[in-house]
Amino acid sequence: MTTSGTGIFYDGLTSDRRKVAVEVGGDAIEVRSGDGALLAQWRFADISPPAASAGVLRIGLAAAKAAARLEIHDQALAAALIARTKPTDRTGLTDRTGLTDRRTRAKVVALSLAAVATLVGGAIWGVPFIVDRIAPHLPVALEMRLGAAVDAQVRQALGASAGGKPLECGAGDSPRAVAARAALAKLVAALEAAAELPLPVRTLVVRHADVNAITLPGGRIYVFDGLLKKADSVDEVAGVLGHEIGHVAHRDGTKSVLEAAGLSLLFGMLLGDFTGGSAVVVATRTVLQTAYSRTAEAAADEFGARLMYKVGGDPQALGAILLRISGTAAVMPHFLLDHPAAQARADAIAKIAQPSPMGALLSPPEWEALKRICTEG
Amino acid sequence: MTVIDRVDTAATPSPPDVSLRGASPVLLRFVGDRGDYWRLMIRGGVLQAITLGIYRFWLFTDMRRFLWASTEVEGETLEYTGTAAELLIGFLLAIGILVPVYALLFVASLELGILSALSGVVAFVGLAGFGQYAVYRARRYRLTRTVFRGLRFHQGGSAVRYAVRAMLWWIPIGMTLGLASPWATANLERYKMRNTFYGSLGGSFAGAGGRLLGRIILVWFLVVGPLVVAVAAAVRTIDWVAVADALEDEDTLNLIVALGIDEPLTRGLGLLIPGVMWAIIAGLILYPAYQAIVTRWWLGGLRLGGTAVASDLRMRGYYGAYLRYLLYMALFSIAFSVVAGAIGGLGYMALRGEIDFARASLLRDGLLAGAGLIAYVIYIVGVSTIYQVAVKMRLWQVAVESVLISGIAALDHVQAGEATSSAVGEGLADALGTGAI
Repeated sequence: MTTSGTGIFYDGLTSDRRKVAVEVGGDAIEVRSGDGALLAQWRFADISPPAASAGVLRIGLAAAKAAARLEIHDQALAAALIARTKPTDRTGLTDRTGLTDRRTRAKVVALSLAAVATLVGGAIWGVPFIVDRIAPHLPVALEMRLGAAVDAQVRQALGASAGGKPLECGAGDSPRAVAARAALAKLVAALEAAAELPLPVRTLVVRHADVNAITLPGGRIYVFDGLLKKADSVDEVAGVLGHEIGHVAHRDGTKSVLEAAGLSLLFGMLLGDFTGGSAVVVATRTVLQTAYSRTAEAAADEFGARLMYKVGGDPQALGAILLRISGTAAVMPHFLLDHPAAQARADAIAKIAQPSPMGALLSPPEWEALKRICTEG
Repeated sequence: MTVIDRVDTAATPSPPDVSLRGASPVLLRFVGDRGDYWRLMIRGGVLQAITLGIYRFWLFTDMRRFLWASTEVEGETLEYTGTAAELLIGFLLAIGILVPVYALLFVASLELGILSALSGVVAFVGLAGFGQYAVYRARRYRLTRTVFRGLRFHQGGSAVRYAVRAMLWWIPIGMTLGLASPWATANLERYKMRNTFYGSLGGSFAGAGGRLLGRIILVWFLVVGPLVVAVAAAVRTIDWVAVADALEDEDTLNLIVALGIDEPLTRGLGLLIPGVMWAIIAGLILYPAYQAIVTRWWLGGLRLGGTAVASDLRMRGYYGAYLRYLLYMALFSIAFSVVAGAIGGLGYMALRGEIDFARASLLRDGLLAGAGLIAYVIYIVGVSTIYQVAVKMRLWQVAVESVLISGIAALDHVQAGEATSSAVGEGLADALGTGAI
């Protein structure tokens, strides 16, 4: 077997191309210049084969700073070198079948999948865990500013359906408007006093047909006129308000921003950066964000029911109105809903507290005034 | 695909005889095997999808190793010595830099209140500048991982200076509707090449902006010209007083009338629509020509010591690559529809007994959403793989094969230069979406 031959050597210090004599020894390869001077002696274990074009074996030292290279164009000599290297070495020189490559790749894929699993787990449990602990310590002023920014957008979106009239109901100076405002203020004040909130709430009734109420970051609550029209009693409105105040108490506005930030770090920056990955990112974030939201809604339901119990209202009223309006909602798969199903919510509320009426929250005339707040202007 | 496989299977070419080399120009050769690249890219695409993108560091490294090793100068191929682990660490460090930056931008936009619209612009410009910084740092990483004849390339200069320079160029480019961009390209390329070294041998760039403009001006007129005329005509025909009145009254109907949409092709916006459509269609058709012109000009400007590059790049090769891509795309789309349809049909038949497909149910919707998502990812990954091989690699090959190098003897006795640099810039470029192969 050939153990010596010629090669081309670059010493890594200059770009000079040298024809050299190559000798494959017991555990090292020796490179000598034409006059026999030893140019390099590389142990097999230290050699790495960088990618070279077809027919050329190009080797260098794996850990060397200088990029010295030996090229062997003689196939028999290359084969001899490969045969001498021990199968246990990690140079890849003995890798005739690409086995080392495949093993490396399998390892990379396995570790990547483990990383993906960890990050998904982090998104499911870690993000809410961390957010729940950070949110209470963030300054309320920051949430108020965030609320002001969101408020401008929400008002614009809602204003489009107000039909030219002012978005806010009961802003006028007529006696009925004043009475309606007073009724709303009384109801909110009772609930707010019992809730012990980190920030003040500001509640408005807006001209909108949807049966809904929303809470913005910073304690702004918008009750839609459609909800007042659909409500059978003041306790149902109070129950909804209690739920919304629950969002304020739990700092859900701040939390959803933090959760969104955490999700975009995990799915968007760390994961999903490949062609076609944006769809995976959007799908994963939608599913996770709605899951966070369902948890927050259930917590707000519980808070609202307990609040109603405290102020002497009917804790079950929220469940009642939820069940009544749920018939009109579109049917969506559970994993895409940002609220739990109405029946589940009503059942959960029923478990929390029993009715304990201690007296009406508003007098019948006050309730009547509140109900007509949008019709009076 | 290892080096050793090739030694076993390929015929051994004789080493080039240095002593016989004359002063005549040397051709660059592309010696890669397209089949190898297909295998590499398909495997990489699948593994990227499975690992939600984490595999890309390994894929990019494989791609570069292949492309570098396929580029041969005088019987000697380039060598890429970067590793995927470096890219991964660089990316993680970049995330560590970017997350606080994003958080600060968010808080600033809240704190500044009224200025938040302005801060959005500032953030956009800042991140774009950061992107240019990353581009320069990433180039340094790639150069220091490029070995030729036992010596590394490297890059000096300042990434901050480069980013400022690139951003300042956006002003004249915007003001001249892109006509200044050849000078910008030439200027930035000069900065890059002046700071590029092979060992101790410094580079330079001889391409002139004016010359590039002369070559692309026709393309510019064909694409942007009609658009400019249409915009100018639209601006002239619109009754701006009426528009202002309508805006003040928030009267949508009058606004539409004032803008002239009700009289298409004759007034106002009616002119804009064909103008924009022309610009899009002409832009798509002429893009390969534009790419070929710019690449040829760029290659012809490269200098390394006394070594000069010339290129006789033809547009034909570029158009051929894109046409082949369209053909492969069509074939892949047909095959994909057939297979996806068959699997969907069989799945439906198999599950018909278990699930009531006529009624909405959680299981049905989840199944459909999941299947749709998987099909979408497979299709997009397929299309992107075809693009990478049929277009990207082919353009590289066409460009390489067009190159003629004169004065190659200048590369013969070069001394080694600086050490390697980290991959943080590359990671930033990756995270900011400004990365490239």
